[in-house]
Amino acid sequence: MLELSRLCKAYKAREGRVEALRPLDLRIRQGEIFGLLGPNGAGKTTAVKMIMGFLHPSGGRVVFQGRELAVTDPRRGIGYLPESFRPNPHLSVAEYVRFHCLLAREDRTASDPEAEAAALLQRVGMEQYGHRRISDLSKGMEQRVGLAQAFAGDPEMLILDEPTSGLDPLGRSEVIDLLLSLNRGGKTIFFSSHILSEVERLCDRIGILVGGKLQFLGTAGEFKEKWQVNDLEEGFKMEARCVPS
Amino acid sequence: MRTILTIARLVCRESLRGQILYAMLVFLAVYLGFCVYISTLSLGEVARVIQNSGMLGMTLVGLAGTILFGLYALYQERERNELYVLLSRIPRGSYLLGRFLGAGAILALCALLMGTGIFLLTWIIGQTVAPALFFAAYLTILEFGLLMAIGFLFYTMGLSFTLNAFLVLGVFIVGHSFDEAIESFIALGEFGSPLHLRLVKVLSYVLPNFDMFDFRLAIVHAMEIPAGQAAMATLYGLSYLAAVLALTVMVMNRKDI
Repeated sequence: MLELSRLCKAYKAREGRVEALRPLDLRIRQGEIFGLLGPNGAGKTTAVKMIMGFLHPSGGRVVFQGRELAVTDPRRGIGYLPESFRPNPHLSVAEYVRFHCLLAREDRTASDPEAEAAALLQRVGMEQYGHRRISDLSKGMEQRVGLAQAFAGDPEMLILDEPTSGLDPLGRSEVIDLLLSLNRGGKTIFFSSHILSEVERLCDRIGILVGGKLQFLGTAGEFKEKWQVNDLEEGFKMEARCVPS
Repeated sequence: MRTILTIARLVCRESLRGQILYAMLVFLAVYLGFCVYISTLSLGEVARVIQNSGMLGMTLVGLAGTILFGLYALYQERERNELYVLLSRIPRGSYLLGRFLGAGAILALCALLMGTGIFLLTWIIGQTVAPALFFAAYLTILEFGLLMAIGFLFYTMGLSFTLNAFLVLGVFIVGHSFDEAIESFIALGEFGSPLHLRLVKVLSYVLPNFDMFDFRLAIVHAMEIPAGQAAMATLYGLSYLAAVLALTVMVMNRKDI
């Protein structure tokens, strides 16, 4: 479904050349939930931004459904929720989601954005707040609106950066259930998170980035086996200490 | 085109609901009141004073609108990380042009409101009908549309909002100084440096020459505005605008976001 080959990014900095992401080879399979983990500054956001076409890679390519994506191509078929996302505060919830339904549809006559927005709001449990101004929402509600916009246009794949950030435990659990139900419906999900219990519950496979290098790729069980631990967090700490030279 | 219009509509909607527009409308009302007040201090030149000070107000509204509706909102969108969501769906060029069109429409609305206000005051208080004031509003839209596009270009170059706002202000001031600078060099005659004169002339073609849009004197003194000059100003403004927008989209497409 999504294939990254030799995708890398290097910056010129005062201290010289900084490799934010070393050549990354990764294949996300259709219908799986993939979790990208790593300590702060490991290169997760850089990788996501290159997949989404916000950063020009220093090398490598991104192939989605067999088609190589140019950097500035819109990512049709991919729903995206960035980290620390805040929707436009001047619009109402329904207006905002409707706007994204309009943008997401290449063929605007194919669906009724009004009906699609209503269905999306129902899916994220915000149907009774459609008329409310986004500036009046709590952080958790804003995050739900963010998820609703990511689902606009019925994308085959979702890329979510910290999708549960700012949510209380109940909200987090609801989002995870929602993602699981979407996945059961055939959606492929690629997400990054710092909450390892979530990752363990959700992901079919995980990838661990440390210092810009993919150190591990496999299931959570295989990862625990690698470090001979029972807890994902314990293994994660050990992995994070192995900074590549 | 549809995407550009969708973005433009969104920009208009958010501007109409934001507090900036209302602050601008209050300023507009207070300023028009000020125009009436200072016109009472003049001796028999009520209409001219209202027109002159009103057109200065139009410039202030244009400048504030360029920075607040055009640039501030653009930076806000990036700060909320909403820019990423939008650019995952639409081409970068469509996003920029949509934003420009939307902010330009709000700017035009403010300039037209100001123009209408001055027109009505000149008519009611100054007993003079001056339709040329709408031409002044049109030129304000053209001038500040161009200035806004330059601000967009600075944005794509990665400048901070504060630096961008100051640079835009600088371009505006420099763009209004060329004619005066050239006249001064010519007046200096043999005492002036021909090299400097040539340099200023070249710069006046490279950088936007906002004096091209300044017909204030002719309007205030009810002189006829030469059609050729008006057409030239329009052609100059639109060509420059097209070039700056094309460059902006090109830079945006090459930049990391």
